[in-house]
Amino acid sequence: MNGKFFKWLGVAAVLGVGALAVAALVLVPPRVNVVMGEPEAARGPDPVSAVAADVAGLREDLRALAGGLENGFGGVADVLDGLATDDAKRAVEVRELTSRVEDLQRELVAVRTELAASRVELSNAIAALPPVAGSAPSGGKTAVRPVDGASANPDVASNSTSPAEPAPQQPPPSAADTEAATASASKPEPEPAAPVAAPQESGSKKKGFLSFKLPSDAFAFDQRTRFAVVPTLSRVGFDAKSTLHDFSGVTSRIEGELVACLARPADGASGRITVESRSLDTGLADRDEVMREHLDVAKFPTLVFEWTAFEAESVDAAAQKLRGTAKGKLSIHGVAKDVAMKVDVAVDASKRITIQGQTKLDMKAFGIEPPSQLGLISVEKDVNVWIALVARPVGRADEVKAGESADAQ
Amino acid sequence: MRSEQVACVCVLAATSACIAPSVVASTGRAVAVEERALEWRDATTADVVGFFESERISGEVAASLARVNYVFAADGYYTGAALVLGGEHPEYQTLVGTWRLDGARLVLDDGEPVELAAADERLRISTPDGVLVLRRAALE
Repeated sequence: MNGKFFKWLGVAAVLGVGALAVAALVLVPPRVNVVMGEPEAARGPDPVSAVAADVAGLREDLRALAGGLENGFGGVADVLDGLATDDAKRAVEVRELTSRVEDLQRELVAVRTELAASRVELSNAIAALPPVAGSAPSGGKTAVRPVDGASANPDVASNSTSPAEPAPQQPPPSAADTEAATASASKPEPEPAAPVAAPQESGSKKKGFLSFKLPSDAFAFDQRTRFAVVPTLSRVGFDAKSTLHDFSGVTSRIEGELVACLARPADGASGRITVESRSLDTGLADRDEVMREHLDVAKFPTLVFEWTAFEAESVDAAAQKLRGTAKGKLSIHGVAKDVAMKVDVAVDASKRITIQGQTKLDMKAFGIEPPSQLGLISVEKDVNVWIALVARPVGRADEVKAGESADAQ
Repeated sequence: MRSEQVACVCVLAATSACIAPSVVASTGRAVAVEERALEWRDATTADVVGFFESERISGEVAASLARVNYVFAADGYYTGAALVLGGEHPEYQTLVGTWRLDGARLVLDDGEPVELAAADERLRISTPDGVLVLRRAALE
């Protein structure tokens, strides 16, 4: 009973609800706006469309980026092309400049060569000028002529013995001497010959040798220079004649300094050379003893030559040689006498000067009695004194002012 | 007495005949330094390493370079000293740097290579300005 009731009640309810709905539909239409579909805005964005739009945007961006990159790389390529072109141009310019510099260097060498030649000519011309009043040596002659390097000094030749004659007094320098002399001897060296430099330009700039900084103006032929005697490469001696046989006395115990401008030797040349008298060696001990007694070496230990003037006979700036007469005061045995000695001066490849000369002296004039044994064996009073000096430049010397040379001589 | 003198002179004359002439020839007055004939060859590292002192300086640099010493070490270090003339006073210049061989040439401090030869404990360095011969020495 109840079951049927509830069934009928349910049906009635459903029908009621349907009736209510129909009634509501009939009654409400003027007031209710029934919307059949959702508006576009209410649905929200379409993800597919959004993704498509994003993809399209990205595509556009990529296209723009690609275009930009293309333009950029194109610009870089243009710049690189431009740089390459510039490099090529610069390479050409560098080649041209290098070529120009080489031309200029050749011209510079030529100019320097001409300058050196001009300086030599100028030096010769100056040397050839007649003495100017107030600056010429008093009574001196300055005849300038080219030096004949092959011709020997006739004075030297006339007083020398045969070259073939043995010379016991001149043993070769000891190893110590050779070692001490860190320079070449006057004879040619087997090493590659260093070029004999043309007269240098004066100046104080430095030049290098194995990273050492050397003064470029240490020596120039036309520059007043101080020279120091190199004892190990120098010798002083005398040749004496006796009734038994002739002999020489030699020593290398020499000190000295000279000041001269070789291109103008008459202008205030000066110097002092000191020789240790005890060191003179004749090769015989007994004879040396007699010689030392006569020289009184205990009282007069040195022989001194004060060089005060030079009379030039010839100056050859190109060959860097000169010849003339050195004048000065020689002190032997406590007696000072004016002497003149013919000398030849030359500059060697090592920029040292060699000075060779000789003169005759009367021993009696210096208060020395010639040795004599039993009145029968005697030494002649006249001896031939000679020098063979090597001196190296040690620095520039002050120039001589006008008139000083005349006063000095 | 007279006969004694004559006898003495005769004896002296006889003895003098045994004494060789002792006059220095005019051509032999200058000091001549004996040059050793050396056979120069390309220098090797073993030739260079050591202490050296100048034996001979020639060429233009000899005017101002009086004495040179070098120490070359095996690790490429070197030091040198030179007595330089030409200024108001002599002065010693010293160097410290590196050395290496470029073939048969010596390079000091990456400078210009210079010709180098060796012979009998000696090194010969040649440049356009001069030639320096160094002799190996012992450090005392």
